[in-house]
Formats: sequence, C-alpha cells, structure tokens
Amino acid sequence: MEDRRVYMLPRAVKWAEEILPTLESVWQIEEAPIAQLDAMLHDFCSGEALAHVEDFRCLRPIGSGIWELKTADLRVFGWFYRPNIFVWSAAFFADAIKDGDMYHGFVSQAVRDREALDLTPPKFVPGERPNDVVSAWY
Amino acid sequence: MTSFRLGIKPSKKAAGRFISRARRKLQQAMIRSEAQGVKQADVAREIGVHRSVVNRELRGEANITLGRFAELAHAMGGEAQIDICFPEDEAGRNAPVSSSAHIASLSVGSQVRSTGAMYVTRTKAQIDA
Repeated sequence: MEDRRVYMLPRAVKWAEEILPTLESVWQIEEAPIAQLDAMLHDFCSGEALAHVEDFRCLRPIGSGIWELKTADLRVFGWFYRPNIFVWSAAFFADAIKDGDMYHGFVSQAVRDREALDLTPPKFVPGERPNDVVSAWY
Repeated sequence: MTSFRLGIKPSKKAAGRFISRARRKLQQAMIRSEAQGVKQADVAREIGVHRSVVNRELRGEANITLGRFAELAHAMGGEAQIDICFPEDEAGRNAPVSSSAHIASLSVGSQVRSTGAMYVTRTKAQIDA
C-alpha cells in the first residue's frame, strides 16, 4: 500500500493534546472522538483505501484546495501538499461546525495557513477529485 | 522533524482501529452489493430496520454489534468471518507493532487481512524541508 503522511500545524498539535482527549461522541458510539481520530489517521497513513465523502472530501469553494478528513464526530481541515501528503490546519467537532455554519471560517483559515508557510511551489494539489489527492479510495 | 502520537490507551486504540476496519469491510461489501443491484434499502428490509439505521451504521454514526455485522454481511450476500492474529504468527512482517498488540480482524467474504502499521504524524513548520 502507498505510504501517506500527515503534517500537523502547531494549532493542530495543541488541539490534539488539550481538547481532543476531553471530547465525547455526540452519537454516543463506543469509540470516543480520540479513538475515531486515531483510527482515521492510522488508516490514512497506512495507505488504506478511503471512502470518498464518508472519510474525506474537497470543500467549497472548489479550487481552494482545502479538504476535510472526517470521523463520525470530527472534521479535520487542511490541504494536500502533494498526493498522499496532508497538512492538518485545524480540527473541530462536526456538530458544532454544522450548527454554527463554520465551514467557511475553517476553509479561510487553512488557506491563510498555507499562504503563510514557506513551501516549495506548488503549495497544494489543486484537483478536486479523489484521484488527485489519494492513492486508493472507494 | 518531530513525531506526534495521540494520547490514547493502547486497548482503546486497538478497539477503534478494529471497528474502523470492520466498518470499511461493510462499506466495501455494500458497494459490491450495489453493483449487483442490492441497495441499502434492500439490506435494511432484510434485517428488519429502517434504511437510515443501516446508513448510520455504515457511516460510523451508530454502534455495530458482532451480530449486526453478521446480519449485514448476510443481507449483502456475504458471510462474516472472524480472526485473531498474533505477531509471532506472521513471519516476515516488519511493521512496527507494540509487543502486546494482537490484531483482530473481521471481514466479509473470504478476504481476511490485518494491518499492524502504526500511523505516524509529524509536527513540522516547513513541510518540504
């Protein structure tokens, strides 16, 4: 299977260390959000075929190159620097994002993060199709 | 470059990854069934629940018992299988698995596969250094 990587911005690290362990599932499923995220990152980095839309999807505005990785309770925002290489900008509780219509803010924040990083161009994969960003999906 | 690991108990990690694998097997079996004309509504009817219940279970928004796993597999035209793999049984495997990790695997049909690879996340200010 293809090797994949996730890079975390400092904000993401802080959230994963301080907030994530305190979260409980709104679906009241047996996997706490931290276990959901661990499984998702494990599957991503070990090259598992990912479910398009259920596990990951491109966010609007199309062309911004911002994607979300998903679990039942969480949304992880970022971009693909290269195929299979995801840069994690921020994460949040899915319910709160949907209730508060916060998608636009997280997308804008990820774009600003990307612009602020001194990356070798191109800074992100511009495609919006699953094939553009991951090696295996269904 | 620094690696980052989530602060999660190994037992919870094993459970979460196992559930994720099981759910993926069901999602992929559902896709296979749909290609053969069996819809989620058909599967739901077969096991006596509303389609939304099956949908939530496949999306990870509801718990799946072992019994339900078997029911869903059956309704999709497959057969649930179960296995527990021990590191010493897998000669030649070089993936980094913690010494106490015994990998459980559920599958639909005859394909049983387990993965012991641990994810690696990295903190990095300059991604392409």
